[in-house]
Amino acid sequence: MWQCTVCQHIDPGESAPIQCPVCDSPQDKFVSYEPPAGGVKTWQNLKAGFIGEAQAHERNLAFARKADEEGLSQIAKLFRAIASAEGVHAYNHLQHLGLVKDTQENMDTAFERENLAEVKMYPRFITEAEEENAPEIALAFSRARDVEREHGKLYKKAMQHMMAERETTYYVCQVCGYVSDGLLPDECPICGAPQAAFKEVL
Amino acid sequence: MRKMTEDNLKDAFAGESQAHMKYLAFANKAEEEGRPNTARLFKAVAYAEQVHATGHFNKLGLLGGTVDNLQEAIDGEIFEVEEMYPAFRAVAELQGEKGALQSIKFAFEAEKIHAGMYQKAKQDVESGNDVKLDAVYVCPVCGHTVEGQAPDRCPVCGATRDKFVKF
Repeated sequence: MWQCTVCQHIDPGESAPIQCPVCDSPQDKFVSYEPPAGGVKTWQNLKAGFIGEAQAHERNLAFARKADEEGLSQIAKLFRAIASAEGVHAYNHLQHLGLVKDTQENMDTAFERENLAEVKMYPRFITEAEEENAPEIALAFSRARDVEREHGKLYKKAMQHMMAERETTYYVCQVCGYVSDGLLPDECPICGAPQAAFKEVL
Repeated sequence: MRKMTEDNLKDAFAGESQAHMKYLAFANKAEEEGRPNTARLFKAVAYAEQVHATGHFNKLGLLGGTVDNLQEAIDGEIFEVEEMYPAFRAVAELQGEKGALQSIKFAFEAEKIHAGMYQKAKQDVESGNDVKLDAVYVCPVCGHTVEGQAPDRCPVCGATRDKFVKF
């Protein structure tokens, strides 16, 4: 197995890929990688398990919101409880994959993910949505891209202040995911949602 | 919706879902290291990624009424119990991977219970009512899910009662 030293992507192939499928880095950026838990298949299964559980977690939370809208509060509770259980499974799989390191490294990984989403994934998705005449979806992708750029900045700032553990309050826009650091905005600078759409993170 | 955009929305949903879970795991780690503010940053961005995941999911048209959503949830759990986790377990056993085997077993045991809870809920909703549901407790170690009261010890992983999270 091989690991990209730029974006940490792990490739299960027998030889290193010519180009990293995630960040496009060339082959010489790959180093040999030993999975923390034995064989390639088990590693791939843990990864598939993590992806499946993470998606089930999000899906259940979306279903809970819908049940609340329909006035089915007990069903909403059930969806949320099971979402939480799927979160536990996703967390355990991720731990066994050896992908939770110390906070310094986790910050680097998180920053790199935001950066790739901003400069690689969403720009392509936006172009393709425009080509397929889906302007509403292109707009949703472009908002997500703008927000990922802000997330990247927040991680960068936090990495610089890591030793000081600066105290601040974060507010998250529930419409587009914009994170405001220390200031509750009058309206969201990305999607224009009102102040009431922001939620403080405790 | 045309194919390429649909595939992109699915990829974006998968990516945001994973980012959400990863950042929560990172927040946990930062807390263990005594960095509460860094933990809060991870939690804030995790929540933001959840907003994105939900948005993409909605645009994919996958959010139906609650009866449909329950059926979708049941189908997902049954796939995991009957196909996905048994296959994963067989490979992990073959390769002698004890750690992986444990997290696969924890998930497998809980998904069986989830499928049953959803099935009961769907019957209630179809008969025109909100489901009757007591408090639900989730084990934060293995994800074991139980309605009513938390057990003294988790039957799957042995965690004590005080660890359980109530919904």
